[in-house]
Amino acid sequence: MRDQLDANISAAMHEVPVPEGLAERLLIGLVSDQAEATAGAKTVSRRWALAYGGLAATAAGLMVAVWLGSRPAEHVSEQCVLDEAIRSFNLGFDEPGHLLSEKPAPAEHPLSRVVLRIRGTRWRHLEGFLGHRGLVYDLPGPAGARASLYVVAQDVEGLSTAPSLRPFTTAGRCATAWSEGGLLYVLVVQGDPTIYRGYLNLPRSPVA
Amino acid sequence: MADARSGVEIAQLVAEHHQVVYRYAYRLTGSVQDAEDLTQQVFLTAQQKLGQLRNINAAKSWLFAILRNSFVKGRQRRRPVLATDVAMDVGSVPAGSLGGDVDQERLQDALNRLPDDFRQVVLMFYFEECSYKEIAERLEMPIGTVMSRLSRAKGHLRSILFESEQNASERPDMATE
Repeated sequence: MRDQLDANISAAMHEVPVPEGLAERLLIGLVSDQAEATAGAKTVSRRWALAYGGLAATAAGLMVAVWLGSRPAEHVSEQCVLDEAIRSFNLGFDEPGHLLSEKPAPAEHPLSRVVLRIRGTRWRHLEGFLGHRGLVYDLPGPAGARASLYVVAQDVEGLSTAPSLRPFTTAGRCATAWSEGGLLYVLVVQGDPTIYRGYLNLPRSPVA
Repeated sequence: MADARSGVEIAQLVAEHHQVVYRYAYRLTGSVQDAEDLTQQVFLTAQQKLGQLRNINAAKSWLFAILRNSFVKGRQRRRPVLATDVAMDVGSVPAGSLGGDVDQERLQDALNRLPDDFRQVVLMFYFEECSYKEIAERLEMPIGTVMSRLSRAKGHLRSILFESEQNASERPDMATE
């Protein structure tokens, strides 16, 4: 059985800062290891061993570029992201989830710092969002309004690092996407831009 | 040279899971350097055994299993910490205490003071969020042993964390201006 303390400890277990550049170092280690294994399997001269080393470094660079540097090359536009989020929002009205106050959400997909913490917020797993898995936070609102915040690990070119005050609007929905902490956030709100802005934890200073 | 197909797949695993694997490794080892070494070992092993991964959706559990095995193998070369080396005075800890944030330093300290096999079970419970039954199955251990170890280890964690909270609550309120 798990109680509230267990939930707190579980959440705290994931709060570990990850060293910068770790993924790159891991990939370089992997490619070097594979090249060494290949070189070791065949009896090769020192010259060839050096050549393998060079190839390993090149391949590592390539893998890093493919998986870390050029992930935005999925060519997913901001509009495509917004459309997908609104489509999910319209489909997922009554989906169950966990109350955030009772069960902390997985640390890989945290609630955005610029979205208000609202009592009654629930979270649930998200499958197949533009081919990615992630998390959805369902946020209650005034007078039966509702909003959902989609969080996935995906890079989208040209996104701002904060939600816009002038969201995309369609059929009674407002939506905006931004990038934060290496994650894609999409907020979809049922209602007009005034209700939408009510979900944002905006700074008190005037916004240009 | 590297098989291009497996190279891409292992790169995908690294891209998607290196953070959570590192965090787990850190909780197991208690050291940044050891955690990074262990994480590297996990992905090296994963690269060699990539053909065993049938379902990409099970990748995280698979990597965690490699992580636990790599950790145990690495530790076997060192002096094991016996359960009797660790004092677990848990009798006076209220089960419902500690409602606020968990002190990270205390948490890691408590983990570091657990014997390896207890720490492994605790992390499967708290980090992987496995049930008793899942832990027993994955470690091929009787469920009674899992329950016993978890009970003692959870008590140990609570005793250290509760001590931290108690000390904090005894301090004068410095936040009020």
